Amino acid sequence: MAPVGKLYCVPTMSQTKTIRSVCALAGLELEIPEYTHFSDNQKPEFLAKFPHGKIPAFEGANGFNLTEGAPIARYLAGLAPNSGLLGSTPEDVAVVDQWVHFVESDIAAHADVISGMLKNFFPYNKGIHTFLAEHQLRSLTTLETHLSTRTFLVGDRITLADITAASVLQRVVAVTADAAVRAKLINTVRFLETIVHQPKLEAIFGPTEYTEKALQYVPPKKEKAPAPPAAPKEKKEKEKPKKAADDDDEDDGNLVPEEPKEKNPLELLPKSTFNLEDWKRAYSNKETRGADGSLEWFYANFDKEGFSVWRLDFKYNEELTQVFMSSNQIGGFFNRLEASRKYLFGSVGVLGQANASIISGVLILRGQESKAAVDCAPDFESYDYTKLDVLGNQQDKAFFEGALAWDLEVDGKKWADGKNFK
Amino acid sequence: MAPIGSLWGDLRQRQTKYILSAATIAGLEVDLKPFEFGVTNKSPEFVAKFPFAKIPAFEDEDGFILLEGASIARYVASLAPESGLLGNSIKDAALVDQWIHFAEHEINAYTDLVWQLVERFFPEKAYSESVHKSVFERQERSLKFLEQNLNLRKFLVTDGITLADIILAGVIQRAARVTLGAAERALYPNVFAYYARVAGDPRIKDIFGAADFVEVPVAPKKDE
Repeated sequence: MAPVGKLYCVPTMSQTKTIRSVCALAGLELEIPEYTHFSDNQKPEFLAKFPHGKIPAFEGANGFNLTEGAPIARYLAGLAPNSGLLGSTPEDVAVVDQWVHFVESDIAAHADVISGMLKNFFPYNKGIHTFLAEHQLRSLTTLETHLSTRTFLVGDRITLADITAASVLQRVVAVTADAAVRAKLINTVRFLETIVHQPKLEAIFGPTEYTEKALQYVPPKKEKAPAPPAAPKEKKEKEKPKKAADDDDEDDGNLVPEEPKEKNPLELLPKSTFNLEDWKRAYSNKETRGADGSLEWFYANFDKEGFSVWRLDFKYNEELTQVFMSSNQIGGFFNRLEASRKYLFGSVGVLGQANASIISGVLILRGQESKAAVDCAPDFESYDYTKLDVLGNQQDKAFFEGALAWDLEVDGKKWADGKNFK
Repeated sequence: MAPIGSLWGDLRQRQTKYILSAATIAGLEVDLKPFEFGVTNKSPEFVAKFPFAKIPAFEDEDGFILLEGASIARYVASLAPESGLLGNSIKDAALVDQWIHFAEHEINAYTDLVWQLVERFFPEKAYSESVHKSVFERQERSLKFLEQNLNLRKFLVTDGITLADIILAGVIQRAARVTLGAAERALYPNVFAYYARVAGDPRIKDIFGAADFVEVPVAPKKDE
């Protein structure tokens, strides 16, 4: 039998498993061409057929092209009405539709954002992670109740609703629904096992990975250089609790956030006339360059004894790929600097293009050493910090101004996107 | 003509608009029941019928129950195949499906996330400017794609309004009340000309109601 068409996809996507399973049960042959994501979907041949550039994408043997996973699955199921995959009465058809929609909007959507954050496609935020996981659990409980008296979601045979749900659930039990959560979803797990072990679907779903504990965020930590001798993250440096107030050029590892009772040494510096909050307001409300701009405000108010300006450069620029992902990396780094919000301002960008870019920018921080302000972020050592003399050195000043105005250019690489920490 | 069923919804909710618009164009009557958020959805009768307690929720004259806005709208449309709401062929139906899915997942999902972020449905301090920006950028990608691809057709799938147009128009209306202020909307003239055409159709313009677009995108209130 000739293939019904080609599916451009990656094997791990839940939509891919759904579509392939539909074809297996509908007796349709589906061709899966070689495909490399982020590369093939940007080529003109692909975009000519699928202008939005996303997968899964279906190219029918008869020239009919279709995108969006669930519609592709439904269209293919509809080509084999005897399979019963869409339901056998108009009401069943609607209820199959309802469950597919429910699983996608109320379970998969949350899984997508959570996974996205864990993999740095979105900047990570713990509050959002927690909220989405709780809402997802509410939906899983609804599913659990429905399945407590049923083998299949609709009627008494397998439908598209079951396949879609199983594909999504296989991801959920690997990411958010850990052993503790699964203890309350016994029927859902039984249902998942039933579907993924259907003889024609076993090879498509593969083994199910059940996570012991819900996945947590691990910030990207690149310690390729030998660790500095100060060993900053060890808790054993308790010898100098209050003496850290003494001076500005201390460089020890005492400023560890795990000791909440220890006062932040930056609090103990002599008062400064430069008010960081006023600066942040000026930067936000004024144009950067020009008369009455925020730069003008800065030079009029800056206190170089109480604060310092630093150039920030990512150490591993050769690893950067897509601009939006690098931008998210900056966002993630800024999220992890939250504890220093009172002592820090940043304007950092991605300069250049995909696979040929750098992360560079400036920080304005309290004190004369950068470490105290940034080492609350576990990955602070992935960046180089170079002190700038913006009042006395023309090149430093130009760099500083470019970073604030978001028009910085370094080695021919132009500012593409950026983030502010304020 | 007798109503085909009862709908618990809210005229301000885009999904309720989809369903009523589909019913109107299909020439079917749906009985919109009074619904008060926080009251009706906590009443024992409602929860007994709809345990998940979300709206819209539909029950037909025979007691058949259905949830999920787009699914209800599609079911209603399927009861009147001559209306053309689901297209005129299997391929049309698949394309209507594709555009509905695109509107909901590639545009509306981001509107909802931004709304939740800004209105602080997420717990205290979970507002994140970087997440907000990331999410909005994804929506922009979809809007740019629409802007470039709406040029050539009057409606998304056929020569007349289908359910895809109704749902996409509802999604655009919601986005223009949340993520797209006047400046942002000016970037998508085709999208908004299309919206005006669909939402302005005499059969459904009262259901869509006043545009109520925002001047500037919603932002978190500064209540430190």
